[in-house]
Amino acid sequence: MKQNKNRITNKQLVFMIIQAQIGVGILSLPHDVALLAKQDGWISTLLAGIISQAIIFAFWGLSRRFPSSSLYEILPKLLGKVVGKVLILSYALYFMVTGSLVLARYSDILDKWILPRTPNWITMVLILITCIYIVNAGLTSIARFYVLVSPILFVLLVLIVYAMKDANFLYIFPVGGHSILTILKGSKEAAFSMLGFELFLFIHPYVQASGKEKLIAITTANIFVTFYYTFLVFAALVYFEPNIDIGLTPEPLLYMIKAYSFQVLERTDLFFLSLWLVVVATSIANWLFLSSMGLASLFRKKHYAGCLPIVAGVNLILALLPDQGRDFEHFNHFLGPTHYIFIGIIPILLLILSWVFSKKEVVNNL
Amino acid sequence: MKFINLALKKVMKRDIQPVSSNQNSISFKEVFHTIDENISFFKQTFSYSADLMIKELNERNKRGILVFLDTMVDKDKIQTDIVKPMMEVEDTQFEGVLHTNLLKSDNLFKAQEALLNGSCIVLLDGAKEFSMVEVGLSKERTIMEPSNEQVIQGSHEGFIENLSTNLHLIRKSCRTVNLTMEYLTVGDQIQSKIAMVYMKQLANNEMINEFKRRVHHISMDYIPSTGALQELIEDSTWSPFPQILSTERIDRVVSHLNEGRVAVLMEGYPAGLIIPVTFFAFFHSPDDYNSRWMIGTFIRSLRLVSIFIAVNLPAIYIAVIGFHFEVLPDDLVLPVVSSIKNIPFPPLIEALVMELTIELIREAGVRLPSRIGQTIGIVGGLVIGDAVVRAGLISNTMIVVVAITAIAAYSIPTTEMSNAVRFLRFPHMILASTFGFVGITFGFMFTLAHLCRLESFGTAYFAPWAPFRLKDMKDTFIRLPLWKFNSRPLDSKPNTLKKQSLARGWDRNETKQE
Repeated sequence: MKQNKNRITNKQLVFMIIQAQIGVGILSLPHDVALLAKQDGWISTLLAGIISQAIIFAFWGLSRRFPSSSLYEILPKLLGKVVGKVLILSYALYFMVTGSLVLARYSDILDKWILPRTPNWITMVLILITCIYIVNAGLTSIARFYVLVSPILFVLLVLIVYAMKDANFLYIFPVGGHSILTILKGSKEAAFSMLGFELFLFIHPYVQASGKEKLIAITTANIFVTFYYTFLVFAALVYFEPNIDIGLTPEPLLYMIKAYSFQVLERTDLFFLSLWLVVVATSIANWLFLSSMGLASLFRKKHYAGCLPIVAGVNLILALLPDQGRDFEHFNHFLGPTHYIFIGIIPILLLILSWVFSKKEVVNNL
Repeated sequence: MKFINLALKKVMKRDIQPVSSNQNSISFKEVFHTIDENISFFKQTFSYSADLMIKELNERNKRGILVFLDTMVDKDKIQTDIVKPMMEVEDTQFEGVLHTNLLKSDNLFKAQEALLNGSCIVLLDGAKEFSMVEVGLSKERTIMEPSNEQVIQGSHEGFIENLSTNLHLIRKSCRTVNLTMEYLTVGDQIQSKIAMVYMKQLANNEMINEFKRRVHHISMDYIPSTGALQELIEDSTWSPFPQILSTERIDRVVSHLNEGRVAVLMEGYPAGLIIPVTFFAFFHSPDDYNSRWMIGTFIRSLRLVSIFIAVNLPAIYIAVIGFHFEVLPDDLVLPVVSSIKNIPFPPLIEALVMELTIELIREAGVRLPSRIGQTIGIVGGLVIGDAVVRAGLISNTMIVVVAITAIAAYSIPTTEMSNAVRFLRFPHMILASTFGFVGITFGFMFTLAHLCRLESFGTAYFAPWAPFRLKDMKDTFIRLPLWKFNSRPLDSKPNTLKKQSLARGWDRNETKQE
């Protein structure tokens, strides 16, 4: 009964990655991408998926060489104690900052759309408490929760599909009208919304599956998310005129849905937002989980639950710092390169290092 | 949070002091040589209780005593089983005549135990051993249908207060050598007998051991009821949800036994506890299996909807009135507005007052005799409901919402789960009145996260939804046809998963022949 604790199955891994990837960006992604790539935004999103898939292969390679240690354990093994600790700390900080950015954007949207008069810190505290509760019982219950709330993604999709009945498919033409460079710039925006698959590096030792199955699982998740996002971007592009309209609508999907009413429900967007909250909560929970795991391994604590309130507190303070809206730009500019460093460069470097020094974990398959 | 935990631990530590158990320190006491010594021993151990009877009998110059508790034995049985045969026999060994349930022992503590269980002790002068004869008096209630778990179709038998009768009822409807019963005792001062029943081939050994371990570690003077036992062994007491199913129906117990679960019964209580159990077991009723499967599925999904309504409807109403009036379609706005226009209270107060009133009516109805109970229902429901609207205190729509919620909550077949659901509605209402839909979503997430965390004896409480297992959906909030139930649900971790292969074998057979 006990030894199965904190283990997750392969299927749960798929849903965890999906839930980690799809987060707050879901609402503003079409806007962000279309600002740069215009009607070719959907190609950008696809490309972003392909890029993340490439990084995923690197992650997988790393996990193959160290099948029973998470990134926090790999770092000191490969780079020595001091550098390893510094990197662990910077990873934890990076996750905290990313988490608080998500938190700030969440409360910003909530402020704009549902609760204009409620102070932002209250909504933040509310979601942080919920996330702490989701996270602090261990990986198994996190995975269960993520799987349980996954049908919400389909409900959101159905709402969007319904809105597409008024779409004008001519808006996406000419396909490929922009240069590859512009499209790639759009991909950069889209890639930020795809983040979250780095969760794999930290939970892979707990997955009960062979290496190949893990790769299939994480690839499935990435493909699903890529297509999900691509579809959302596509839907927004054919609904709004991509040159002017979409620039005016910071949350295109919400504006799309807002226009429709059913016999019993007038403001569909409120319903949509309520469900979207769950999706956001799972991704915030994800950042909380990752950074408190980092802190726990830094201080050699057995369980990360004790670090959760600290991380949540830091998140709250960081999220309250930026003045809503304007400062997100700066925040994003600052975070842009760090994303590359922490998600792309460091893991790939680690992989190369492990090849060069042919460091590998001795696996005893007993 | 840490601080609270620490403080809690400190408070708890004060309570936890190892009590030196004097119960097992002396477990053997030899029979005294003379009768008088023995008599004084019995009198002392029972503190000269008035119902301790010690009758002398002289058997051919041999002095002997009969010891029994007046309140526990059937005097007719003593007369026919002990006294009469002893008078009749001439010279033969006197054990020969005590043919029913004769047990011999030389341990006086055993005698003490036997007396409490309704035996009569026969002790002869100079003998090293005494005999215990079972002459217990039993007054039982007749077997009838439990009033809190009534069904339309199906067996109408229910458990009663007598343990052996209950076990007999189980064994009778489950005649297999696989059925194993084990007796355990709990309680340090006053011992209660509990029986655990399971299918040897099916039930998971680890789970059985875990149960025994938990029961073994209970250190309490007296376990008052199965409810207390439940609270002492369940996984998480910080939860509104019941984690052990308590049922008075035999058919329910037997069907759970067949899924590899364990039933626990306790002397003196007409309820069996089923472990481990999932969330969905609380929404099943034997009726579901006795009616047609489509109807069963329909009714079960109705129950699932009813939990949702019972937890969320007042909250949604409050959120709509207080925050998101624009959600209502145009045609509905006017009627709602005209109904709430002159109400002096915010919707939360309205809802709280009405919900609490309904809870009060229920509580009052339960305690009163059934005839007055009905009156209370009429006075409470009709008079208060009508008057409160006329007085302009509560809006009409709120009455509708509250009434629907109440009905939905009571349609859940298990009282404990219905209570949990009714309790959950209050935090949701408060959240809804402070944050609108956002609050409801967070409340819902919290509840779901809680359900995902809960475990019952090592199995996930919210199975088969979390962890998700499509195969086991057949018997949760839907009920597929019985011939689909080829494997047992995984949550109880049964030893054999396969249940049947071709339940409708004749169907296959016929098509083959043609």
